[in-house]
Amino acid sequence: MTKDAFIKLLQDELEYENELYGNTLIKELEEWDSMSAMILIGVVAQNFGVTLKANDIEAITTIDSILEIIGSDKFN
Amino acid sequence: MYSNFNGIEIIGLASSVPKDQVSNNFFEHLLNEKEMRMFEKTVGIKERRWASVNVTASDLGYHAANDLILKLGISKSDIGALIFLSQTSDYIIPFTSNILQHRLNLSNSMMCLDINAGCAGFIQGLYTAFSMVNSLPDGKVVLLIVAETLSKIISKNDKSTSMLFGDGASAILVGKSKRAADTCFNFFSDGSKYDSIIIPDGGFRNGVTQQSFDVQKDEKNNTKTPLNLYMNGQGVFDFTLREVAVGINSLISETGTSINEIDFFILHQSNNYIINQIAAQLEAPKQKMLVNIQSFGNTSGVSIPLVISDYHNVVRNANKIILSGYGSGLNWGNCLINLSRTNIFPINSI
Repeated sequence: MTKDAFIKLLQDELEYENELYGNTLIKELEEWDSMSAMILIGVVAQNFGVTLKANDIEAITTIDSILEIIGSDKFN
Repeated sequence: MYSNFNGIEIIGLASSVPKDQVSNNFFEHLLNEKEMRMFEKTVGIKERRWASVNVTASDLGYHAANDLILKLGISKSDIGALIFLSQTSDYIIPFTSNILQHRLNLSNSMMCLDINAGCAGFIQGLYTAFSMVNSLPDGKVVLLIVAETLSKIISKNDKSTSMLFGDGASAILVGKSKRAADTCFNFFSDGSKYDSIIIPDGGFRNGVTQQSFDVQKDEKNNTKTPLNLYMNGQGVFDFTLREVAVGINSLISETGTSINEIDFFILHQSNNYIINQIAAQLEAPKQKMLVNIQSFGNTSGVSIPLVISDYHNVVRNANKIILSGYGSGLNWGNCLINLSRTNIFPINSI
């Protein structure tokens, strides 16, 4: 999966009105809540086989930081 | 901990829920339209049943047990032990099982036991019932009643808990039979996270004080008192995704079976999204995950037997079913069981 495809997928699943970019501080958005965290964990698990843990969610800042946690080798 | 029983089975199972349905519209003051849509899409709850003010968990349990005893036509004198499993008992003292022993007109010559257990409670209670019946004379049975009215301990203004929980009860009769298939259990515990799901006040660590009634507001404007149920949703979600599938795989491996041989998985109905994630981790088809969370919400320890009642026509034709409970404690446990000889009755609204 490309980085852009991942961001698009996340945008679709979260149904955020705000456009997401690599440098979006996702947890700063008003729409971010515990359901968003749940959806993010599900999207990452289903597409990359990586289970984000509570401390990963805490550490997230930008969308790019999510990509780093997943592992840059998982993107083409 | 792994345990295997031979020659013991669930003879019958019946469930009761309150007739009052509470739809998500009741919570419009807590969530906006989009949040509600996302809640239904992820958590999957559309409605739940809540008991009225005067109805307790033991009332629901009484009806389920009475229904089961009547329908099975068993002699009450054959019931050698009664277990009442709940977090919403009638009193702190005495046992609610004693109250039900009298109300159900059961013999005095029996053991009554209450178990305070949460969402893993059905697995824990079933294991206890299997252990007890093992030592009883042939022909004697154990009555397990699992009942909850969590609607009475949640803050109706806390969106992290109020929309999740429903009320209900199940009664289960466990007995011996030479024709019973093996039933296998495994259990896990992590007491370091005891405060992940907790009512902070009202026990003897933090007794009831004037402050126990103070309404506290969190950063999301949810309000509750220390006498209400508190849940660290993110922490519990994290725990279930890390531990539940591992525990199920461990039981499957210990019993020498395989995921493909399992006919159905009945997981605690906490959250549809979690159930789908666990299905993916197990590499099990979603069709094998039996779900009724949309109609009853999270009924804690009752949720698994409530699904069994709901799918009575399906599970009676299955040979291998995995039951999996997980929640407060933290406790989690699994059971590999055959329900093809069990008399399962549909859910009764009272």
